[in-house]
Amino acid sequence: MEKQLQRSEKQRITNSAEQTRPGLVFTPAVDIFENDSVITVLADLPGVKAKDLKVDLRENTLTLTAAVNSLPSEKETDVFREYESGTFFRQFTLAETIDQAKIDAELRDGVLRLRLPKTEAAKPRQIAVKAS
Amino acid sequence: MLIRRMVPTESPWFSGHDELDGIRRQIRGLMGEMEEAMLARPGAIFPALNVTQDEDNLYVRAELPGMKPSDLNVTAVKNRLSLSGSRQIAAEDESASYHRRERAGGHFSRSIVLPVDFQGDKVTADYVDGILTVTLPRTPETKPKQIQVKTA
Repeated sequence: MEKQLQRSEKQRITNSAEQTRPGLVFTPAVDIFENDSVITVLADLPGVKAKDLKVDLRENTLTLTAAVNSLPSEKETDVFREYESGTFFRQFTLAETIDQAKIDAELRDGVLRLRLPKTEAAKPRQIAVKAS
Repeated sequence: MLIRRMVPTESPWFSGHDELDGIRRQIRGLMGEMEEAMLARPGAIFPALNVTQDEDNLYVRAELPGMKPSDLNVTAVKNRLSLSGSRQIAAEDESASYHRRERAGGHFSRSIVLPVDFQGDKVTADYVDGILTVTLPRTPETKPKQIQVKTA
């Protein structure tokens, strides 16, 4: 039987030092996995459009920043509110060197799929052990 | 966790359709909402919902990234809106090793009573960028009406 989804609080960042604009900041849920040739990052970014998402990779640090602009119009008043919206931010240090030219990012239905191909030098190679 | 709500239809507060009826219903709705609001903590019913209203409609929004519209089920009956569905997390290739696994897949089902009457046959639902927005047009009786003050 399929398992039931549990609700968890949206992870808020309360001590972020990088805030340059006002508003709440949240940490998106991510799945990160890798195989021999590519690291893949999947991030839940509901309400984010491609133009508002910044993916930055420099010096082995990957930074995701996304603004949510699909807020309700001013004419709407709250009846009840169970979740807040705000900017998404998350940063990772990558242990592998990535071939920057081949990075592929796709944002669909609020999910970012980021493919980071490893450089040739970073791919694991079987090293033949010679018996002497 | 199933929540059964007893909504009294015959009560000393109910006396036909006088002007305070709408307010009473709002207050009762608000009391109901506080119960819903108290559920907004970990372990509460998925998904979290934001309900807003303007003059013409009620809007119910939920963050549901990565769903296929065919896996979403939205039904509206009288003053109750029900959402259910199933979120698939695509199985990645077996040779992959995970460093983080925070996104969850599974079933969900949630039903709420809305404090304002709406027209069941005119309800629409949009799924854009992972946010489901259900628009429920209010019944004409619930729309605020400007009352002209005449001077003698």
